[in-house]
Amino acid sequence: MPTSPAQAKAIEQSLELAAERAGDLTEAIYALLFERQPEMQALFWRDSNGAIKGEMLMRVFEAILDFIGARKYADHLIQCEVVTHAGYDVPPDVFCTFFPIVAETVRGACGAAWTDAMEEAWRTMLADLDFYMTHPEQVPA
Amino acid sequence: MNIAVKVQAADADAEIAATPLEKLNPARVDRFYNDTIWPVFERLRREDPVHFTPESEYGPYWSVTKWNDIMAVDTNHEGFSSADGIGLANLDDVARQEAAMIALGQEPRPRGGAGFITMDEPEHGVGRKAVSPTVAPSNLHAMAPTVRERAGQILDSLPIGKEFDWVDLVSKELTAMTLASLFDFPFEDRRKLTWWSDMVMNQPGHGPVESWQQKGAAMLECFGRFHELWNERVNAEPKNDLISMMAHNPATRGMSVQTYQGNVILLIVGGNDTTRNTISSSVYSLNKNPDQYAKLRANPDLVLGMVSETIRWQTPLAHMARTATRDVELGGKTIRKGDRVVMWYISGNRDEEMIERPNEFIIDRARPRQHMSFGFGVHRCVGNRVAEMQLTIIWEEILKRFPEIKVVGEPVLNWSAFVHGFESLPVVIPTRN
Repeated sequence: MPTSPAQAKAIEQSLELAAERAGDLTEAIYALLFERQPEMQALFWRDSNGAIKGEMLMRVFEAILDFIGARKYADHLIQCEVVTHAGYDVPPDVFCTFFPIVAETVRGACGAAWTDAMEEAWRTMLADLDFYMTHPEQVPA
Repeated sequence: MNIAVKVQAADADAEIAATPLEKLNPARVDRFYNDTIWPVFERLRREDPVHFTPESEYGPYWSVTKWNDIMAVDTNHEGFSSADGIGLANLDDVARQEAAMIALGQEPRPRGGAGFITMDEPEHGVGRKAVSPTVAPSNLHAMAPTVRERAGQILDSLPIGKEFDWVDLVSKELTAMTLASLFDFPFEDRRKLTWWSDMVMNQPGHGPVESWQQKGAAMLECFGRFHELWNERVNAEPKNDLISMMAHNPATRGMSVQTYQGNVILLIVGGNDTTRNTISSSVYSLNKNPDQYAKLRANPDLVLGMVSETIRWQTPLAHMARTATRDVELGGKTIRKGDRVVMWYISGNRDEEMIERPNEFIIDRARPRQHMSFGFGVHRCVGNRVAEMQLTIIWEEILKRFPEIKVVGEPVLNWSAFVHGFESLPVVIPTRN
């Protein structure tokens, strides 16, 4: 089920709050990813200045905002990224763990300011995203 | 030989501003050759971001010029097919090429026909999966020391204090060496790979192409050599080069001759033109922006950012084309089933709404990797990491050796609205470090 406008607002607020409180979340998100999926760390061998991880995360945030907003491309992009990441040695089941890791890190960064509405909104969005991640085949509209 | 006459940028600006919108044909090749294309895309992004050109040398086509609209097309492979070809094809040139192949006793190649990139799902995924292990992170890691050693050899052989063509001696040479490794192609014949790529991508009067017959004969020579290699590899133990990967993958070993030939063209051109033009562009762009060159010299850690900025700035493949599989609404326009649609990456990379100060070359941007030069979606450039690795390594090695590479004349640009690059770039290296 797509997020409602109120849920979209709650997600946007949580992202703003997390950025205010914790600044750049890149390090925290990838630390959690590498803790859960240690084999992923070796894939970033060229990322000596963190720019690859940083840009990937920015695209994830942009995709989230498009997904809960105009949805011009994010649903299709996510389906495509499942496929292209398999070519970068990232299996689909590992790819599917990334958005929940983002959610967990945002929740942690918000701390006590995290609300029930945010919890509900992220849960709804993750369930919606999960459909596209587990169904990467595009079917005629 | 290049037959076009350079025009002044100011004249071009005035002409573009005066052209009625419906007459604007952004794929006009002379504007790419003369580097006067930028006002066309600025105007389209501002006035008509999803633009229809009803008549042109390519037939009718749509131009998509803004970042988010390009993303919408590129990621929607169900609504936009690649099977009719991924570049806009000049209709007269296609007819001439087909006639030349018939004269050589060959059947014309199918339209599209450039391997798995001109296939739709699920066939595209099968071909892509067969070759992607060759350029996966683990394989690139193993390959990096060889690329570095060869880059060093190239740079150490360059003349000091004497003018030479950077495109020929460095950009082509490095990509030829890397491509030879990826194919496990005979190293002494590596420049055949760049020559075939030039023959495929040019038309008579440009690059090394003198006639359609010569171009056709070169393609036949290329296919013949690659068929020999296939026959060697298919009967040998599997290895991790591109040909062996395809020959031993159960999903691709039975592919048709034409599909194999298409894949060969795709991998040669994809692995060659884009990287080499970005290497050339890095030298040219740094010379045009001496403050950025000084910044790089002062802080070699900026190489990674400079590489990404050059890939954005140059956009070595200016566009990719698709065909709508059904009616699709985009930017308030209705694209009809069967319409050709061109995603102008070169314009998306200058979209003011997405990229801060997009017309400036800035090597220490906050988001250096924010560009669409590799495309998005399932057709995203499979070799993007190879390209970045080569560029990074060559610049790390340049900075160790030379305080400056000086551009001493204007480059000759490609005659193409597809490959956005350099025919030649005269430089002098005044001294070693």
